[in-house]
Amino acid sequence: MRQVQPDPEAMLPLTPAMFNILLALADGERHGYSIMQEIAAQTRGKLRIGPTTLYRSIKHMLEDGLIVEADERPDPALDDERRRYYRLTDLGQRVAVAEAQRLEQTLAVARSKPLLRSLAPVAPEKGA
Amino acid sequence: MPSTSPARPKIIGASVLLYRWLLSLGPGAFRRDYTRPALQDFRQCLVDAYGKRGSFGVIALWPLLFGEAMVGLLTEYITEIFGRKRPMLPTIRRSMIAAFWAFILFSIAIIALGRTTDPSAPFDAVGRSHPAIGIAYSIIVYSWEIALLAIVLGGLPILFVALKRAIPGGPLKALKLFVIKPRQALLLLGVSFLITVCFLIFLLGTEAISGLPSCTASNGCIVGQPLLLIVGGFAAIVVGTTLFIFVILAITASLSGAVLRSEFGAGMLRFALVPIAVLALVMAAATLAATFWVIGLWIVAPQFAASNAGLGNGQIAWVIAIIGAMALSTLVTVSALGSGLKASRLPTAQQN
Repeated sequence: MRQVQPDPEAMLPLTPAMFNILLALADGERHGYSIMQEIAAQTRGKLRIGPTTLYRSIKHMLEDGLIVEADERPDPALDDERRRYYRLTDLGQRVAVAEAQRLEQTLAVARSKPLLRSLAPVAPEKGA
Repeated sequence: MPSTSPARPKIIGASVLLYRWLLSLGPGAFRRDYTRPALQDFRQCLVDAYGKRGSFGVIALWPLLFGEAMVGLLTEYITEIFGRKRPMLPTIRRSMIAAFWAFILFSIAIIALGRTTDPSAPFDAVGRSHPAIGIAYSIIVYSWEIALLAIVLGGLPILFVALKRAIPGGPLKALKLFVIKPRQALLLLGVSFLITVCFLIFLLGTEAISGLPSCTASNGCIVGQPLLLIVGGFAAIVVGTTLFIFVILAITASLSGAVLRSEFGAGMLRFALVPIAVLALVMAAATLAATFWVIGLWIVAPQFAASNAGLGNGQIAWVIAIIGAMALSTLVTVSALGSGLKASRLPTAQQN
């Protein structure tokens, strides 16, 4: 029997918070605070999400099967409190890739417009 | 490096208190599941800010954290009330689970109705002399058999696909599909206990309202029995009923968990809408037939209906509760079918 995979396209586009959470989890399991820190780092501080937005997004992503709860354990880098860890599912990984490709296509369109020439990749200078 | 600050500054304590209060205003489900981790992360943000810039750093975070909490909680309320535009596949998956739970409730109601009409000979006699009553009862029985068939025929392929996808990852992965976490098991046990208590209160209440039967040597009357025996017997009933309900809930939850954890293709999920449609149809037919049956009994054979052999002695309250449960399971299934059908027509790209 042919295996039919769920269509990640059906879940696009993602909100910036959800996409960045998926990216933060791409390196492995993380707890909530670690996700917040990673998002701030990977966006160079341009996107900072608070705990409410984080857990609203996590709630919806758990419902949609993009992430799962891994377990609950203390983070030795912080304190002795137990923290809930999350990780990507296979579907979550595929949705992250699909969203990245969608954004890439959008960026390619933007680069082709005369108004947004400054976005075009800089060609290497001769003799440089 | 681990942050070791035994005494938290007052400004952090006050901010956490305020944030906790703000979270307590949020929707129930969100509050229940995420208050603790949200508070934990909020406190950590403040501790870090205090470590870098002191009290000013904490105050500077207030607009961001309190502002996003207010907007987020309000949005979550709106989401809970009006629903969220969900992607097709998870929606149908949820419809499957809702229909399955509704089927379990429907089955319990039908079994309870069967116990109410036991011994069935006098009910059969009424059915023979009034064919409409007999036909209504037959519809109830056949509806349940068709519902069971729909669940088996619809559920087996879904279970097969779930297992087929899990087995390549090893038998442990396949087993993990059905695992209930200890916390969930405890929750189910608590719910089972609550249902048992409500059930016993309902039984004793209806018995008391309808007048307790007089004590005889053969009807198991507890009056006059030693206190220890009464307490022991009651405890045994509570424990036995709780465990029985727990097993039913645990099996249902385990199968639902397997569906939630498995990945299905759109075709398979669309296929699941067929048994859900059959379920909705037969549950609606059974609920209408049960309503007609009980009203019909009271109209065509009022003396029998009011007697102990019929629906007297508190049985009528029991039958009304059963019909209520059947109506509820029908509503859930119809609603699951509606949202599943709506989701199956969605275009592939949509706003999440």
